[in-house]
Amino acid sequence: MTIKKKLTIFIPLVISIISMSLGAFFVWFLFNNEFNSASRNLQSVSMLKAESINNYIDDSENYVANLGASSVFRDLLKSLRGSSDYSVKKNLADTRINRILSTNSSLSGLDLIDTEGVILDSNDKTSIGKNVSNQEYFIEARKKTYIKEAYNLVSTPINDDATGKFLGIAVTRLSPGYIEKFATDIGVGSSGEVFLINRAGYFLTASRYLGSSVVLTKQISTDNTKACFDPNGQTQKTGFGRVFFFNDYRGVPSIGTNAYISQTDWCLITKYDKGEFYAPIYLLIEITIVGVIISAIFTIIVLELLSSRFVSAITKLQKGVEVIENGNLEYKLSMTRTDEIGDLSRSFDKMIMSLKESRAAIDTKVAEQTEEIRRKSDETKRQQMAILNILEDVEAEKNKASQERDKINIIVQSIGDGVVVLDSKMNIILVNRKAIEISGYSSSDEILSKGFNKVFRFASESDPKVPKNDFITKALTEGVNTEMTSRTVLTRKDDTTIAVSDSCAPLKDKNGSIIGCVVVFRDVTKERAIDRMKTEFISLASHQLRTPLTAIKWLLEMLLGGDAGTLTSSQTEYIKNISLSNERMIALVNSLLNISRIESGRLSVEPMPTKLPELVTNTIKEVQSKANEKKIEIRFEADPNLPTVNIDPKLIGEVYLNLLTNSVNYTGTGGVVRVVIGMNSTQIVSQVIDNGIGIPENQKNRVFERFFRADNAVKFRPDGTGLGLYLIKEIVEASGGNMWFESTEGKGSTFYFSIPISGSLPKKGEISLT
Amino acid sequence: MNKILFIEDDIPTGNVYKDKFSKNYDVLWATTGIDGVSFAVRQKPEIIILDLMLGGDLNGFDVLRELKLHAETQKIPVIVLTNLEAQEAAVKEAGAVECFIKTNTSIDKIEDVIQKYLK
Repeated sequence: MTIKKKLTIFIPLVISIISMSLGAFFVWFLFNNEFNSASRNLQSVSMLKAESINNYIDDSENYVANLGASSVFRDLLKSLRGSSDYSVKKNLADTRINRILSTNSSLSGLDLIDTEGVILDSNDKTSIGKNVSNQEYFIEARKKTYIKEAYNLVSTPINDDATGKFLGIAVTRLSPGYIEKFATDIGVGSSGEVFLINRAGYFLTASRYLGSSVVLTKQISTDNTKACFDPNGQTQKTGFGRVFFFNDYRGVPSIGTNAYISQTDWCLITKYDKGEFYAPIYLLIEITIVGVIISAIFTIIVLELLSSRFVSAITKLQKGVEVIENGNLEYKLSMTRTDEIGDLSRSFDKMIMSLKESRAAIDTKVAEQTEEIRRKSDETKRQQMAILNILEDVEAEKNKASQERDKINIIVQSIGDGVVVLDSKMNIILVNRKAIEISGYSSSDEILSKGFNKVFRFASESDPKVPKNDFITKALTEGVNTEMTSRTVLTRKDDTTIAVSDSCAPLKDKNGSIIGCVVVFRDVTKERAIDRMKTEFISLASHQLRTPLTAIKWLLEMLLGGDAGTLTSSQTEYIKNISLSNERMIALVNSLLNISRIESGRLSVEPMPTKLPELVTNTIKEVQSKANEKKIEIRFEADPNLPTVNIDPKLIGEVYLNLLTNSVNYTGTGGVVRVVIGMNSTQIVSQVIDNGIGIPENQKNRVFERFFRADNAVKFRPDGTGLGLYLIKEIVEASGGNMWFESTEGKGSTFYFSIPISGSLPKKGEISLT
Repeated sequence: MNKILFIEDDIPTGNVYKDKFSKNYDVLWATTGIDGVSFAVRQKPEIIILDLMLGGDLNGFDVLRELKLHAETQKIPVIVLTNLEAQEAAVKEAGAVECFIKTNTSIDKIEDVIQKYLK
């Protein structure tokens, strides 16, 4: 709602309400006033009138009483009718009556009545002689003064002054209309009237509105008249009633009061029309209403004008604000009014100015901040990049470390011995697969949760139930590598025990303090196989066979060495022979062992980088003395580009030895044995060439057979097991090479064997060559 | 005289040792591993000649290990003389300094080796 509307509705409304309230108040006030004054008026009139009526009645009574007491009348009443006395007296009475009536305007008639009720005298001569004994005014007046209403009669007893004897009654008639005076001379407003009624409700005086015809003819009963005669009412008690509103005998709403004339049991009604009473009040109400309306209209008009002016000013402000809201800070209201709105507009303009300024300041600030933010953002980006780089590096390092860890883990896991890494408190840090396997568990979780002592129950074989971990504690405390004492067993998860060999090496940090240890152990059940070997035929056999041969060999040696004294030449001869046979036996046992090993696949090949020329040279040394005996020359040539090759030197050495020995053995005096080593792209080929007895053509195919000796060989040299070539061929083949020969009987032989340049593959065997 | 301890359960062989070496050395001879170890610990020979195939609770390997565990015997060079095949690697790993096959080694050679290690 606009201001205008607001103003033009609310303010007039408020004013109207106020005015009406005031008006209502005034009306009420006036009403009260009016009522009070009306009441006073009415009541005073009522009282006055009642008073005057009472006075009049009293006066009348008195007067008549006086009259009654007059001697004249008394005399008349005393005198007897028909006597002369009587007529005199009557004349006197006449005179008196005339005199009274002429002097009292209020009286219009006078009667004298005797005790019988006969009118003895009156101003109305016609009534003389009438009997009025039945009249009330006669009957009542015998006792006291009686006022007969409406007839305006006042009758009074006349008593003898000396005796008090009732003589008669004097009756006076009041001038008619006297009382009417009261009725008309009212002073109670323009519609007011005053009248008398008797108890029965008959008008005793004329009604202003209905005329005098109502006297003693119309009977009325109104609230007012009722109140007057109400035995409990105020009027009966005090003689004067309240002022109140009632409907009069016409039915017209009136305001009036009553007064009681007790002497005559009359009621004096004083009233006037309610309308007349209310007239000023109604007037005031009208005025008020009109005034309200006028003031409301006036106010509306005024407000219209005022508000228009203000509202337009405000609208102007509002428009200004809108413009500025839209961003145009150049706008100025520039109102020239001097009132508050003008002030406001000037303040507004000032505000806009400062707003502009601050806006400019803000813009600058914002630009600065933006720049700052951009800078910071760039910096942050750079830092982010740097951090990312670092993170990447860290990630890479982590990966490397983790890879290293994985590598180490793989290595540790793949170690063929059980490895358990402990910290200085003997908590298990790492356990590898073999350790799990050996100890009989199935997973590292099982072990890690149990703790070292529960899992790895090392003990001495003699006391398997008593845990013995000194080798570990020693490593941890003294920092030395240790091994378990005596025969050690490990009790596995299933409570079986196995023989283990083990050691413990302390772990030290870079300061040299002990931070833990590495326990390495292996199942040496195999190594303890020596005991097994006791039951193994070949080992047993070879060992059993060799043992006595050893004693024989050495004793013979000692004999020959003179340890038991000097020997004769024949003793020496015998012993030499024995020795030879012994050696043969030894050789045989050796060969048998070798063969059995080769045949059982238990020969081990342990390749290592070997310089073949060196190997050959050493081998040649071994046969050199024998060669020298037979004056055989041994020559050696090797390709200068020969690489170091991975071969088992024991095995290949044996090959060279065997070939050289054969060559030396089966070549005659002054022969030549040559060793040649050459190579091609894939193989190293060695040749042992001799000019010895050669191999018969028809026996060449049996040369590599076990125990085979060619006929010419047997003849040339009775000794020989026939196992050598078989053996070395097996060796060469086991080493990844091949063996073959060329030979001409009587001319010589060349034995070839090849070894791959890549070397021999390692072969795990239980035994190596003997 | 240098003490040499021979741990050998074969009597004839042991007698040979005794005969051969008593002249020039103080020869100790134990026929079981246990005796061997206790001799070694108590007598602290300069050299120990050890056979592998011993009877009793300890075989040659066990003896070797024992010897290496005891401070008194740790440093004594142990030469294994055995008739068992292919033990060289194992015995050397177990701490022996040399390994020879008896039937393939002359007694003089043995003496040479002893001499070598006495130095």
